[in-house]
Amino acid sequence: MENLTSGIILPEEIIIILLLLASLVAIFAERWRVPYTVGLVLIGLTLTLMPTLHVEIDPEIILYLLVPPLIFEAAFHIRMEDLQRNWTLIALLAVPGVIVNMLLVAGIVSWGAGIAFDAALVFGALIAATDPVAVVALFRKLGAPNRLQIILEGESLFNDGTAIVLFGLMLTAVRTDSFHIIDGLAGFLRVAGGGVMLGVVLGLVVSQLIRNVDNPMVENTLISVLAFGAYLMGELLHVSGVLAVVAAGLVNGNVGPRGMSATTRVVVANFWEYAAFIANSLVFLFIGLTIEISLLIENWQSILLAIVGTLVARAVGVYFFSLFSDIPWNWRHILYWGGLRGAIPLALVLSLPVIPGLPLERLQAMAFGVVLFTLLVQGFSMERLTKWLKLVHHSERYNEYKRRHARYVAAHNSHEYLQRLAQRGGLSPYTWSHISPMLERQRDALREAIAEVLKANPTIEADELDYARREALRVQRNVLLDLLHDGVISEETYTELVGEIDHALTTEDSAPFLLYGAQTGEKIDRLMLAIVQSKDVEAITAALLKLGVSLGRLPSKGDFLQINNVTLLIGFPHPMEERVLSVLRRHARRRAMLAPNTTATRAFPWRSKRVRVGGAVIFLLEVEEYHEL
Amino acid sequence: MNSESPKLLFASISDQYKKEVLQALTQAGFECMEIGTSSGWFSTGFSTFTVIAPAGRAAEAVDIVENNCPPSPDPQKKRAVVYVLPLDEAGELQAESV
Repeated sequence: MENLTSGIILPEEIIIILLLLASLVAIFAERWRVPYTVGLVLIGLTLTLMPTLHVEIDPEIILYLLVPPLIFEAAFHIRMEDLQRNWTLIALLAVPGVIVNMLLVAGIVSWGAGIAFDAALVFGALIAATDPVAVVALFRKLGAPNRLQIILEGESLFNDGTAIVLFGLMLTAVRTDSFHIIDGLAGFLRVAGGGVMLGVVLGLVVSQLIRNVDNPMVENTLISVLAFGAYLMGELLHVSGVLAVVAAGLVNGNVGPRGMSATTRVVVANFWEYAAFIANSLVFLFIGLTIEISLLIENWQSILLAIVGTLVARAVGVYFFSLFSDIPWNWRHILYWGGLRGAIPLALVLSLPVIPGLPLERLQAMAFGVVLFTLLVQGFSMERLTKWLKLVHHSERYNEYKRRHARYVAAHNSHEYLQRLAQRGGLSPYTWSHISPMLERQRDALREAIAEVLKANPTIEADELDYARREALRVQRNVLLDLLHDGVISEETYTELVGEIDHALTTEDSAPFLLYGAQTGEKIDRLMLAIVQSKDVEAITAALLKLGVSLGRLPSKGDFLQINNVTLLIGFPHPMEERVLSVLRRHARRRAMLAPNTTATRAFPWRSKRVRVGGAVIFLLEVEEYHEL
Repeated sequence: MNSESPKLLFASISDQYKKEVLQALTQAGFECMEIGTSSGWFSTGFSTFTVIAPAGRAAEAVDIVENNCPPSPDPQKKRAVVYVLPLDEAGELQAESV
C-alpha cells in the first residue's frame, strides 16, 4: 500500500486548479455547444504551452483511480438486452477488430516512424480504445437511430477492455524483450476470460448485497467498492482488471437496480456521472501538463503517421467486420468516422513506465496528436457527415412542425403566466378580461396549426407518438420497481409485468408504418399475404417500395422467442410476381436466435439456447378489383 | 369477371376514419371482421378488415369506404386500400350447442 499511495500526494493547489479548470471547460463547452471532450482536449492543448510541471504521478495511480470510473460508468448504463441484440458485430469489432487495429497501426508506425515493432505494438493497442461520448451526444441531439448508438457504445466499452488487456501484454513483451504468439494468445484468453468471470461474480455478489440494504449512501459505497475493487482484485489475481470492471458494471447495472429504490438509482447514476466527469477531466489535463508544445512540433511526422495509421486501421476493421452484419452502408461510414479516441488512450500512455526500448515522450505526443485529430477533425465533421449520409433526415415539414410547436408552447406559457399574474393582482381584472380571450384565440390557432402539420405528415406524428409511448412505458417500469420495493407486488409479479413492458419497449410494432399506395401504372391483380419476421420487415418494406407495390401490414403475435411475426399485404400486377418473390427470398432470411430472455439468460447470455427462425410463409391470391384512397 | 359470386374484401383503413367506415358498412348489412391492426399504443396506424359482400354488392361496399374516407393528398401514403377477391361461398359456422 505504501508505494501505491506515495504518488497521489500531488500539491493540493494543482488538484484544485485542475478541478476549477474542468468546471470552466464544462461551462464553456455547454455555452458554445461543443462536446465536453472537445473542450477538454483544447484546454489540454493550451496546457502544453506551459512549461512542464513536474508533477510526479505514479503511472499506476492513473490506471487504478481514473480508468475504473470511466469504464464502470459506461458499463453500468448499457442494457444487456440491447447488447445481446447486436452482440455479433460488437464482439467482432471489439476483439478481432482491436487486434487488427493494433497490428496495422503498429505496422504503419514502426515502418514509417522507425519505432521498434514491440513498442509500436504497445501504441497500436492503446490507441485502439474508442470513446463514443462526443458522437453519442451528437446522436442524441440529432435523433439518430438508437441501434447505431448502442453499437457504438457497446463497441467502445468492450474495445476499451480488449485494448487494455493487449496493452498490458505488449508492455510485458517490451519489458521482457520476448513475445511468442501462442503464449500471447493463451495469455490473452486467460487474462480476458479470468477478468470477465471475476467481474461477473463480484457484480452478482454486490447486487445481492445491495438488495438487502436500503440506504442510498451505503449502496453507492458498495458499488464504488465494486468498481475500484474489481480492478484491484483483477490485477492482484493477474487477470484483466478492466474487463472485470466491464463485467461487474454490466451485471450490476442490469441486475443491481432491481434491488434499489428510486432514490438510490438517482444517487448512483449521478455519482457515476460525476466520477466519470472528474476522471475524464483529470486525464486530459494531466496529458496537457505532461506534454510540451515543442514535443508535438518535434514529432509532427510521427503524429501524422499515427493519425494515418489509426484511420487506415479503423477503416479495415469496420468495413471488414461489418460485412458479417446487416447494418446499412451509411451506418458503416458513421461507425468508421465516429471512432473517436478519448481519455483511455491518454490514460494508458500516461501510465507507461520508464523502461528501455520505449520512446515515452514520442508515444505521448503521438497519442495526444491522434486524440486531438479525432476529436477536432472527426468530431466536428460528424454532424455534416450524418446529414450528408441522410442518417437523420429532417424535412422542411419537420422544421415547420418544430417552429409551430415552439410558438404554441411559448404562447401557452405566456398565457398561463399572465393568468397567474392576474390572480395575484398583478393585472387588473379589467385588463385581464380584455386580453385573455385574445390570448386564448392566439393559443388555439397555434394548436390548430400544429394539428394541421401533423395531419399532413403522418411520419412526424408517428415518431412523436412512439417517443411518448416509450416514455410512458419507462415511467411504468419505474413505478413497478417502486411497487416491488415497497412490497406492494411480489418479485414474480414484478418480473412478469416488467417483462411485458420490456417487450413492448423493445418491439417496434407501433413504430411508424404507413399504408403505401401502388406506384405502378398497371392494374393491381394479385394480393400476396406474406408472413415474415418483424425483424426483416424494415428491409423487405424498403425493397418492395422500390418495386412500387401497394403495401400494408397486419402484425401478429409470436410467443416463443418473443418475436413478432408480421403479415404483409402486398398488391401488385401479376407480371411483377417473380420480382416480389425474389425480394422476399433475399430479405426474409433464416437465422439463429437466442432463446427467450429469462432472468438467468440476462445475467448469463451464454446459457441461451440457439434456435433457427425466419423465412416467410406466402399466400398468393387473385384480385378482381383494387382501390386506394 | 363474375360479378354474380360473393366477394371477399380486404380493407385496410386509417384509424382516423375507421370508425365511420365500419359503422356505415355494418349499417348497410355487411359482415366485417377486424383481422389485425398496426395501431399500436395510441391507435394511430390503420386496421385491416375482411368484409363479406354478397353477390352483386361488392361495388356498394367499396363505395361506402370511398364515401367515408377522403382520398390522401400524398400519392404514396394512403388512407385506405381495398382488395376485392372472388369467393366461392360465404357462410358462417354455427356453434353447436353441447
